[in-house]
Amino acid sequence: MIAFIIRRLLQTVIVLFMVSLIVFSILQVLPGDPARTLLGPEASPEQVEQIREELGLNRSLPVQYFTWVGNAIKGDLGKSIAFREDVTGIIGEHLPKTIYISILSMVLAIIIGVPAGIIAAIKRGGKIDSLISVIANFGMAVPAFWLAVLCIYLFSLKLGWFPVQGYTSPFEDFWLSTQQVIMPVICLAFAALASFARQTRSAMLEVIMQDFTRTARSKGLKEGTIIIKHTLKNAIIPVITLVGLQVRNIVGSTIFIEQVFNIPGMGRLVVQSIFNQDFVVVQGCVLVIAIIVALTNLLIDISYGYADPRIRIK
Amino acid sequence: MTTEIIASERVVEQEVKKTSNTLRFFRVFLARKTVVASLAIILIMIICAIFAPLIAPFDPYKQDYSQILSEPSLAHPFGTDLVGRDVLSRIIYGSQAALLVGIVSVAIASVIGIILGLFSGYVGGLIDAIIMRAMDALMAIPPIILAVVFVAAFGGGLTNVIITLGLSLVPTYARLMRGQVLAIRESDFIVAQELMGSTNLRNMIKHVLPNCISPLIVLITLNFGVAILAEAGLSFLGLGIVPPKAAWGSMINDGYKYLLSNPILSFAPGMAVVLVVVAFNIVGDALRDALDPRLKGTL
Amino acid sequence: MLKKKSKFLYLNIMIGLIVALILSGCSGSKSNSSETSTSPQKQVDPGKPQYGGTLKISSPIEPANLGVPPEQPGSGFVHMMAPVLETLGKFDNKGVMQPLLAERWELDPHAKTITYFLKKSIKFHDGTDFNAEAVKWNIELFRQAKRGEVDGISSIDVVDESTVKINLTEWNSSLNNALCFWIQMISPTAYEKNGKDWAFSHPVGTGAFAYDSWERGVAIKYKKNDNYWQEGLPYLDGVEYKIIPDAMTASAAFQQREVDASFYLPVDRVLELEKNDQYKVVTLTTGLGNRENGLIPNSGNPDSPWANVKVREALAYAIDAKTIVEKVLKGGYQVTDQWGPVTGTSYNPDVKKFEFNPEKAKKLLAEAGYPNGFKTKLISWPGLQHESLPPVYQSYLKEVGIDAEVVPVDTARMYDLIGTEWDGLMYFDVLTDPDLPLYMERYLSKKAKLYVNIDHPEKVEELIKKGKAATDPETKKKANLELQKAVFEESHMFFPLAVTTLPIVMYPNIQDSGFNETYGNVYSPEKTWLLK
Repeated sequence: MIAFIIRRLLQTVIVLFMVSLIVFSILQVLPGDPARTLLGPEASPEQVEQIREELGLNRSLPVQYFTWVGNAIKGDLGKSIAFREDVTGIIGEHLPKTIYISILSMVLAIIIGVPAGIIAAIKRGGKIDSLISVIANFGMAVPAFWLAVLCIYLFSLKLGWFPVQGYTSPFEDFWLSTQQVIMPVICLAFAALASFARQTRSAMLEVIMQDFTRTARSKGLKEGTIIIKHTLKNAIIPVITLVGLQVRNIVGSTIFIEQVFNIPGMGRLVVQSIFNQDFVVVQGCVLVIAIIVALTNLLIDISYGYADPRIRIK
Repeated sequence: MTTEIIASERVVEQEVKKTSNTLRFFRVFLARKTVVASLAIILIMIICAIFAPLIAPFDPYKQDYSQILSEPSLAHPFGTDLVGRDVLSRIIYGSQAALLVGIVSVAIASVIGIILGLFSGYVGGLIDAIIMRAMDALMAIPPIILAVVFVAAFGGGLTNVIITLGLSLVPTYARLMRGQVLAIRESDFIVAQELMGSTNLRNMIKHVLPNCISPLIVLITLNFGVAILAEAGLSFLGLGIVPPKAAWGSMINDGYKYLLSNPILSFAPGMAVVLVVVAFNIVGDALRDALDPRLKGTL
Repeated sequence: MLKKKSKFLYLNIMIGLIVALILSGCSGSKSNSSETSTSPQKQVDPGKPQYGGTLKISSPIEPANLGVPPEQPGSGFVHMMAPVLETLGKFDNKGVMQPLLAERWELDPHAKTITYFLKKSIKFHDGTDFNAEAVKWNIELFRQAKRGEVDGISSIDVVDESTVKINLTEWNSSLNNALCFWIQMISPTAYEKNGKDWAFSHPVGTGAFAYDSWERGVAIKYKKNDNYWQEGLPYLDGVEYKIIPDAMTASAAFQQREVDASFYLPVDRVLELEKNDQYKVVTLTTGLGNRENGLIPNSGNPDSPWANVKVREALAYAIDAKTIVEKVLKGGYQVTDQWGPVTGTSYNPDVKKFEFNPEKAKKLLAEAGYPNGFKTKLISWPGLQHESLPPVYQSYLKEVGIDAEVVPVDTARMYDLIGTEWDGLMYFDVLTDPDLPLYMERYLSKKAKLYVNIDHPEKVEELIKKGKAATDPETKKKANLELQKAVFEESHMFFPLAVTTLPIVMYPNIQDSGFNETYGNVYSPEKTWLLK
């Protein structure tokens, strides 16, 4: 097991290295001279030259890359042009919000999606099954931002149940925060929820069809016991795998949801910085997001390394 | 001698399988009404895209300032937008962008992905490890964020959106193909051939590709929906198709600004996206069930 | 063929109707949803001011800098710093500058001096004294930033603790207004102790409110200054700006009463809200500090087609400002073809009119060497503008063969572009004070920090100089009129579309806010109170 964890850890490090390489190369093609933008129109050519020197823009690309990575490891992601602040600080301000709504969404997606899938599998072919599969199909096809628009229209503007926009820290005003966060979380969770329901359903069905369940059934065990004891345990692995994929999708969708609900998280920061052409921030954000996704996947892999010993060998 | 016999035996076997398979395929594929309906939606979309000038009641770019934000009426079933353009006509024209993005980006993704996967699996060793870690790295960045950053780097517009979405979908194909290559490599048949010393890249492709056709078709169908959704998302953020070109995502965004007074402006194009994506998903699922039920867990 | 088409049409309508029916199920009627808000209290006498409460204002734009006024190029942000930072003077509703931090001032055109006598015992929020030294330091900061508004100062003398004398190289009729309007006083001690980077996000002034917190993209919060120099003020416990970039969201947030007042809402949204008499809309009627918008080409770049004055003249013919204002902007704006409103004191009726004439535009383009038009960019930004303008402009330009790609940018990027250079057409949004030399200099002269990427004709530079040096109103007015002619008839430096009255939507329980009573963007947070 330890060997497995070390191997996966090493792989993650390599993946992150690759991510940093990709992110760095993207920045190289982006338009604009960072030194010029940083100094503004007043700067003389000498000043520009000086700041280029300071920022290391005159050095070769590999040197620039390693300086950037080195600084990033130390927690220094550079300085934002638009905000005139350290990128690390800005991300530190935005990241908790995204993490908060993402975790809530993930939890919601699992606690509703998985049971829905189980129910659909047990009642396969029935009305509940078709209803769940219709909702699941819709859930996987509806654009998160459009769902958000519908929710705002119905629940905020027409019914007045929830605030239209904004974010408040749960530590500051828990009640207001919860009201503000309900719609964004539901919109973020919806697609993931649908995936979980589908995946659970098909994984369950597969196991139910398998021999040992039949054996168990022939032994005269009750349906409920079979499901809990045998089926669920075997069906859970593909569902865990899905968590890794959905982390990516939920974090990705924050880019829309935060925009629509005016939540100052990472997603909005990325979009805002792109329109600001503040690419140092974009670079930092993408790196941080990738690190989070990669680490989550590492955790998931390790956790099902426990659940299924066969995986460790692969 | 022996190989020839084995080969001819396989051919016969495959022939027999083929007829029964085709029958089985259509029986399973068209079993549900939803699949037929979905195929109809896709067909309507294709017709709309190709014959847009004939179908659309108005010019989608014609601004009529006497008709700004008008309510739905017989002439304008979905009303008009913020500069008096007919929304229905714009939705019909929007299918062109959606279809084009879907087809071309998935084509790019599948071609690059298949080649990378085949090559990676075939060569193995360090190169394989590097390619696969690079794919992992791409997978670690949420595709929509990757797409947004690509668009920021290379600019918006139809071509760039297509390339961007194509590139961000590559890893799935590469992984799928590599998995298949490894599976085949380990199978006895190839091992036998390898012993004969006749293994080469062409052989590899000849044997691997047919085995991957089913998952590929399913993946491609499902990815149409993914690409259309992503295009709508980029356009919604103002990073996709450049206005005034009609695109569903940017229409949702434009209409969203008038959600209080004219909700239909954002509802209608959103509905178009949902219908088309649902249709592609249902068809993809049905294809999977029909082609190879074993894929259920993996795709 | 025809039959086939009508059949398709029928099919479309049917599908449309079905979907519309489904949707109407969830959309309900078009009634509005604000039953929860308070009843109108416009006519009722509000009585004596009440203490307490926080005034929440929504704004689509957010400054990158709150505490270093010389580096704040946009006038649209001035009101956001007003609760904390104060100026030497403030406009009244007739456009006359009245003392605020100054007790009085003396202007001497012959001696070329302006002397400020300051109010005594005013303190900055950090406890340090607001005195002559501080005023000098603040003006020097503007001079170091090479701001055109403070041009022509030769030296600043601190006469005593509360008297500052400004010596000019030559008389400048606009300087007093400029100093009193633009120089928001910050504490020199706080700035020097903590550095400029800190100061960007920490305004330390003399205002009725002190800086509390600033969460980027969310809110700027100010809290009551208990030691405010005006006895008994302020009434409010705090002022809060909520940053809501999206107009729909801002408008909905206002209706849900998540904010008390909304700044810079697009005019069509305001007209929509105005129908509801539970809300109050205040527009700027003094004619002071209106905003004007239009398009400004990158005429300073010799490689740009817009460098040719004929192409710029074609722009004036190509766009039908009248139709746009009447039909698209639905009368929320006022058409103009010069600097400031047609009714303004500086409007020159003798300047040639460029009525909408696409044929003429095409002819001019052909003469300029672009018979088939050309490709250009149209840079648009969120917040201050009306969303439907980019496609409208695009469509008019297309008519005369100019293919304009709309490039949306964010506020910070926009200021970056107009401070350096942009490509093609840029959205133009300026403060149009009737004092043309001062305000045109801010935007159109070589000294301008904004829209630097344009051609600067010598004549305009000369006229600005002439107007500033004027010692009597007649000479100044003459210079104003000549400037209009030079800018709009001869050089076509930008395309003016319309002037807005900066409507602010608010709940009627906001009292004595001074919103739009005197000058665009200016209000009096210290006197504002909320009726409970």
